[in-house]
Amino acid sequence: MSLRAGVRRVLAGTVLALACACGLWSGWEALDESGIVLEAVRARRRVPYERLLEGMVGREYLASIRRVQAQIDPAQTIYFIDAEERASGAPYFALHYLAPRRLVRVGALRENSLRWLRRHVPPAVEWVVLVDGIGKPLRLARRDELFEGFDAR
Amino acid sequence: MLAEALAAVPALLLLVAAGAGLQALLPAPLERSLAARAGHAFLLGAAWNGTTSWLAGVVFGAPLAPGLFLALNTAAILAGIVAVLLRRDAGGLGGYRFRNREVAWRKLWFLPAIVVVVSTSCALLGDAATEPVSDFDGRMTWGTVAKYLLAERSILPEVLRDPTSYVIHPRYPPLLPVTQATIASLAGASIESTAIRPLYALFLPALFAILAPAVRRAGGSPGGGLALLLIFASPFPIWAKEGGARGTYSDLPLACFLGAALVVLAHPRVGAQAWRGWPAGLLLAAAAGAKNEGTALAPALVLVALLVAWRLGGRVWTARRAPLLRSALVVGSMLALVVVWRSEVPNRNDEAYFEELSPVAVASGLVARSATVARVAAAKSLDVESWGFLFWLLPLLVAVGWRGLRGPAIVLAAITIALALALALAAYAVVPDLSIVAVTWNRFVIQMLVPIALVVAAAARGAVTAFRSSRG
Repeated sequence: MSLRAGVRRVLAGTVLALACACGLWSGWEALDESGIVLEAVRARRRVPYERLLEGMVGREYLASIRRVQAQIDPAQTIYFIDAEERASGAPYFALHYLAPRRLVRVGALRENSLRWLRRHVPPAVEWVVLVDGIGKPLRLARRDELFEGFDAR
Repeated sequence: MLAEALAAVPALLLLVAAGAGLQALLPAPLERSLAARAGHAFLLGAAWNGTTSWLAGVVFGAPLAPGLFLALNTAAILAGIVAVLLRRDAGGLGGYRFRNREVAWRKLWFLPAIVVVVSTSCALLGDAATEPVSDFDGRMTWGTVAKYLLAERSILPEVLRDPTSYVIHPRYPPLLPVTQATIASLAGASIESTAIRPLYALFLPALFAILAPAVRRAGGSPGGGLALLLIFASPFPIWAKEGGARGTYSDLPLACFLGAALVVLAHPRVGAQAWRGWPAGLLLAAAAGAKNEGTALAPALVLVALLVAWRLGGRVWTARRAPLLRSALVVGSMLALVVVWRSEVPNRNDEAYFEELSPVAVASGLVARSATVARVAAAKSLDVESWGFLFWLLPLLVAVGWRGLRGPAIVLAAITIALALALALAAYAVVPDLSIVAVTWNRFVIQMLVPIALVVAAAARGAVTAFRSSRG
């Protein structure tokens, strides 16, 4: 065997052996992780869905979502205002839990948003949802109550 | 809770049965092994259900109701039964018989990967059946759109069409939300319930099933087994909620649809079996309907493959032309459907990557950002917690086994990887916030899993050949 062929053989053999060893090690890790996941599955098999959701999103968050769900019909539109006055706040998760209610974002809790609200939202709409930066509904506010605060300034 | 997940089983089986019906329409099976056929059946069924429901909704205004889903899937099943009966009358089942008992994964080399994928799939399905959707985009985008579709029983609900309604990424292609709506409405469950996640968890074993024979063809038994082990023992595709089989992102389904189409088009008998262009086209159409990247990649893949075949000319062009043109026809129709659907949906709350895309912006963005993108992409790919040792070993395998990188499957895989990388780089060049690279890179890699697996397998075959041929 020439030196070149020998080197090629050693290199190919080393890389293949390394690949097999790494593959088997990763496979072992994956089996280990499967065991951990299955153990977790066994533990939560009989836990009610609501409790799991509470553990995931937080008790307070879930309570606020459920409050809005109970008070606003699925066919209704929800107008929401970023109560933390950060116009960039994105109500990502609220979208999921409040859907299929249609959400309309008014903006931050500032005068121009309220002006928009007064101009564009029908007077029949009674409730506006105040959310925080990630869309957790902080509370339901009566539309008039919002204007009272600002009109008094 | 477990009951809701179990209620989804008949709906999932309906998709598999519809896919099996479509397969039965073909003159010969896509693969010989039963597992590979089941994998293709699941993907074809999901593709059929999603694309035809979408089409019926846009063209005929059909409501997205259980009746529509049942009718479309039953039609596929009945068509398959009729095809089988006619074939039997005509004198046998031909290629549908189990003539070849040499099933790829019975080979010893595939055993470690089979053990891993069976174990992880069981864990994933158990996890999916007992835990609600908790991934970010799944809640923010995909599941929310599914809820809107289901509530109005329409592919174009008012909430998407009204520009004042707050929807994140309203123009994202809704094939997966349609599939979620199908499962939920047939199972009588809600989108938030545990009925939805098993759908996504099933994409992992389906990917394995379609990939096993393909990597064996590309890399032989040792190369194929090694490629499967390295891919399916990587933590990210299995356990990640943000893009892997544990979440409800659309990246893994896109990888499956795109990858299955690639497997079908790269089949060695595709030249003699031009009909393979139809199922490949349907799978590519599903890829185009699953995610923005798919909408760009699916037609680009067919076009570039056609151009390459035409450029090579001779036997390659003669063999590849007919199946590729059939696929192009289906993908073209799907793109028209996406365009018509999007024309009704005003865009908002979206990064709008592709609307900002101009050659000048991409070029200047690439010059300014390529170093950062390369650094982040390398760090993410080489992270053992995400990808095991896959991307440490890939360059080594290619270096010693580059002679194995040949043949139509590798050409198609290389085209797919190049297109996906070009798309990712173009998006990263123009996106306003570069921190998105760290968030999305692993998901881009997931979308390329099938071509990467084919390259790993072929390079491993080259390494094995180098090792054997230099034995003296």
